Amino acid sequence: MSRRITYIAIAFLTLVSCEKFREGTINYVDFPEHETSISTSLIVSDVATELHAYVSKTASISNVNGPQVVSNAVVSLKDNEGNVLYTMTNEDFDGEFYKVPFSGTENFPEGDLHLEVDVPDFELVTASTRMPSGTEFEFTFEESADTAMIWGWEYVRDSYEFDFENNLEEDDAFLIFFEGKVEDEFSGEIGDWEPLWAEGSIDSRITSIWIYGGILISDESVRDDPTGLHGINLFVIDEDYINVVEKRVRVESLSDELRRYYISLQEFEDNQGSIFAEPDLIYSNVSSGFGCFGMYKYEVFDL
Amino acid sequence: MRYIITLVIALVSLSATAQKNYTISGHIQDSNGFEQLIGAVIYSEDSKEGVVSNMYGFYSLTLKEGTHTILVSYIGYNTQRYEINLTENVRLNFDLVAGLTLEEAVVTGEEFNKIEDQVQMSKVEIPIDQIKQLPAIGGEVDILKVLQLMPGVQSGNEGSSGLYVRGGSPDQNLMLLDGVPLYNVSHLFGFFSVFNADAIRNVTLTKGGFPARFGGRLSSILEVHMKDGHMRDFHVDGTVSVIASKLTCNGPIVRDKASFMFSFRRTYLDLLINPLIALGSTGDVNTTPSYFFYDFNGKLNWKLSDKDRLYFSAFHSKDDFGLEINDNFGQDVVDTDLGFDWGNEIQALRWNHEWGPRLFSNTSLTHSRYTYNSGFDVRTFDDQDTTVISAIFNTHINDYSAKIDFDFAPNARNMIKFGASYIYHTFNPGATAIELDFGQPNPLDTITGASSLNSHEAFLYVEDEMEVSERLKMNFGVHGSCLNVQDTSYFSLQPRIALNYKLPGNVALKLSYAEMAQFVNLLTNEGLGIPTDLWVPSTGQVGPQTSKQIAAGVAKTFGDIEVSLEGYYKSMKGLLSYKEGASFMFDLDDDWESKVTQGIGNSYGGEVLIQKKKGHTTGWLGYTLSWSNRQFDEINSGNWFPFTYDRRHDLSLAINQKINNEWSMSFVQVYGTGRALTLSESTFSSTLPDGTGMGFEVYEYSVPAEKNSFRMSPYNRTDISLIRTRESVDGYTKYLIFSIYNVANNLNPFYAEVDYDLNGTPVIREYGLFPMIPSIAWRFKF
Repeated sequence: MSRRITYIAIAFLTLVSCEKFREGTINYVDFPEHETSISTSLIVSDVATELHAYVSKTASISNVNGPQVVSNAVVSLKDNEGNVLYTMTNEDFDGEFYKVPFSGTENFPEGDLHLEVDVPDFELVTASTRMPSGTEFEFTFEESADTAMIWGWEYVRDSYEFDFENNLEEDDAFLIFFEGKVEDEFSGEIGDWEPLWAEGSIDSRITSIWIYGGILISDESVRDDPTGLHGINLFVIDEDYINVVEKRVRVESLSDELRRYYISLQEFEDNQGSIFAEPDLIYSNVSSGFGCFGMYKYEVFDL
Repeated sequence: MRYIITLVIALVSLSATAQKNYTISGHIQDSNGFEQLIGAVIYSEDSKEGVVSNMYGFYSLTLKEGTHTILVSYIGYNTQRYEINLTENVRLNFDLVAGLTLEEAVVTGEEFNKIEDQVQMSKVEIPIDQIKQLPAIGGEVDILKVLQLMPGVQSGNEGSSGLYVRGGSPDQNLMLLDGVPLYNVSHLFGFFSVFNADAIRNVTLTKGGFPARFGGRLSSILEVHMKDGHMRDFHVDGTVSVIASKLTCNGPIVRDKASFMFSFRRTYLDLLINPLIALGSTGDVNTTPSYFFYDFNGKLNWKLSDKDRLYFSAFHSKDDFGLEINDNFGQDVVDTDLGFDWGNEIQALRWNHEWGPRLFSNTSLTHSRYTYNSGFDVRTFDDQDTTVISAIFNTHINDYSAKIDFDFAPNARNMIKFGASYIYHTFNPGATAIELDFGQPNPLDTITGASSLNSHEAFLYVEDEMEVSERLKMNFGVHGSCLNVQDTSYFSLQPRIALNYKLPGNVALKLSYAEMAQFVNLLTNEGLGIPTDLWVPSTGQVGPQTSKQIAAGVAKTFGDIEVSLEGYYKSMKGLLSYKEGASFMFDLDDDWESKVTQGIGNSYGGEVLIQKKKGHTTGWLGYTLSWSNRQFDEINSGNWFPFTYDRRHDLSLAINQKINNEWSMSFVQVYGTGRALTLSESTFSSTLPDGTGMGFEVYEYSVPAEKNSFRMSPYNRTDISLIRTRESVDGYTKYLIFSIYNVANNLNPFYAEVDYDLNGTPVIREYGLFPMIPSIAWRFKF
């Protein structure tokens, strides 16, 4: 009798297991319920003539409509004392951004600036940052300094060695753009400033932000060293088929929040599909967890 | 008259205080082969005092002069009783005779060392014979997988043999094989551990209340001891299973004086899979996968004299996974070779010496090395030249150490341990050899990555386990450690204390507090869980990890059943993690320290364990309710988030049932909350300047809402096994082991990701790894 029971049990287990085995080794589960949050981006340059604030609602990845822009937010920029410097409302909304004329940061008070975004039925969203103080640098230039190769294509590079001032009082980060005016080989006309292809050496202080087109220099690894930002080697590709008649370097000194935002966006793009990379949540200094409130100082230097 | 009485009383008092103490000491060992028995009890029925043998089988018991009835007992062995008249220090070795394995035997001596008598709390001991009876994948018994069934011990991914103890990560477990640390204990991508159960004598896991002699890791101490080898007869034990085969031999070199043990295990998955792959290869494309693992345990044991023993242990393990693809396109031939391998090796020389009846020492010289390599090599051959694209990544850690430990038993109420250790570490956190040759004049052939890092680590400790009163026992001590690396020194003084207070009704109330420090760290990729672990040291920029743990509990034995309830709280600092977006593989930046960030964590919870170790029915029921969280300033925007292996509920039931002399069966049921995962489940829009510095563009991103905000499906698994044993009169024993892993064929998730179906709709796919796996194994021994 016990043997019969054993055989029946084995047969039952086998049948049940075969049925489950046929279902395969992949299971589909529901998306967790999404808690909608407010995403806010406001990036302010000291030379901007307008403030552009972007406010939207997050959405579940399974939502076919995606994130929706918010038109009825009240966006306020305040100083440390709580004084309102700028306000943007629905009247300033152009269908995509909240825009108001901006008179620059010369008259801004010292200290942090605070962003508040009030959207009906949502918690107040806040963020803080401050305008960086800018930079000074010296550089040495060497034309056609070396050659490099990528995937079998060899090219010549001009070398620029920068010595940036490392302000020990604050975290320094600079986004570098090389720009040039190109003479049209047929008409002889000289065009407007356009980006030149540039790259940095392998250096923990240098990160290529190709999503934005610039090269980021950061003192994160050399915070306590006053000469920590000396010897920054950058290279501009010497494209022999165009005639660059003027060159300049545009330097954006970034607030720390903006630096972290750019780097995390770049890493996010770099790591798409990589199984070796850590999950990237995209940095945010906004209280809701999405977006960025950052500032940068815009400076141009002739080369 | 009054004066005479006073004088007599004074004389009696004097004689009482003048009563001498003498010590009996020696070794407690198996009578058949002289395997040292760890934790055997030796107890005086008259004075109600006793001690347990240390990890080398040595004991020292100091008693008052006079006649004593001594009981010596150990689980699985017949208790022995001796009458001795103690008039001087006596050296006595006890040879216990093995009874029927796990036979019921209620013995007075064992009354001494019940769970409620032990000061040490948060400790897990499972007899090795019980481990061997439990069901296993492919019939391959695994010690770490069995430990994962204990409360407070979580498993990682499905199939993983990693231990996550009380909310700690795998690097926070000190894995000791004959006293030597092992850094990577996994075979087959973590599905099995490197511990070969046939070569192992004893396994103990300590989760909290750490005595001062232990240090260097925050969360647990796993002590695994190899067998010493039979001193009289030659024995062979072999197993053939679906996954691997192993052979263990041990026997005398010089009878009663020296013995050897070696055990070798190898898988043959490569031999099974290769023919199938070859069938699928087309004429122009030949694909040759290869995977194998092996491990070797060896030990020599020499009894130099009654007071001296010498041991030499060796261990070597390797896993090698590779894929060779040969594409022949006529004029062009492309050879692709990719893969990874990792391995451990240790050697240990140990000298035991009895300095006197109360003082014992163990001196060790050891070497441990762990190596990991991965990479690819692609070579294209045509009529004109050869193109090479090659990148090989290597990381390794090398330790040389010297250690001395003393056991000093001044009397039956005190056991003092003290010692010191020095370790010279060499770390290579990761270097990549790159070769790029496209036929250009100067091909690239270079090595980039972190350079080797040396460090010096040392520790001293002293502890005393004391019987303060009839109801109160305690173990207190201090562990002091230091590290010198890159002209930076770290010092840590770690107090340890554990108390056992016996309440009426023989219920023990236990309390412990321990501070720990750790100077090595493991960086683990949170992706698919492939073996990308990097061991890195504390440096001038990366400080050590520290923890403080407090635990409280009650324990009592009901007949043969031990019941313990414990609660704990652990706070941790200096935890190391990769920053968001960081990748260690093929990164040309040699500064690994810039890719990591340090933070804090906490874990707390309660554990229940009901365990029966003897009799025809043995096993345990364990349940854990726990929380484990982390906070890093540079991860998750600095907000607290659940640890990846934060499992709210964890329930395990393991039962071994001996049906008769021929048949026994085992059953395991496991249930656990799904582990946390970071999944892209939200979309948001944000802006970036458009490159001119004047305008902006809007971009949409799919990102996780928060780190580890997604929970995979709960883990639920049932295993069964049936063992048939046949013994012949000439001592040859055969076992036929039938087992079914995951009887209900539940799809326990190994990994989950967001993907898109054919309609472009996003879906979350959970991938399971192991369906129902029946297996059969055959074992023999003589």
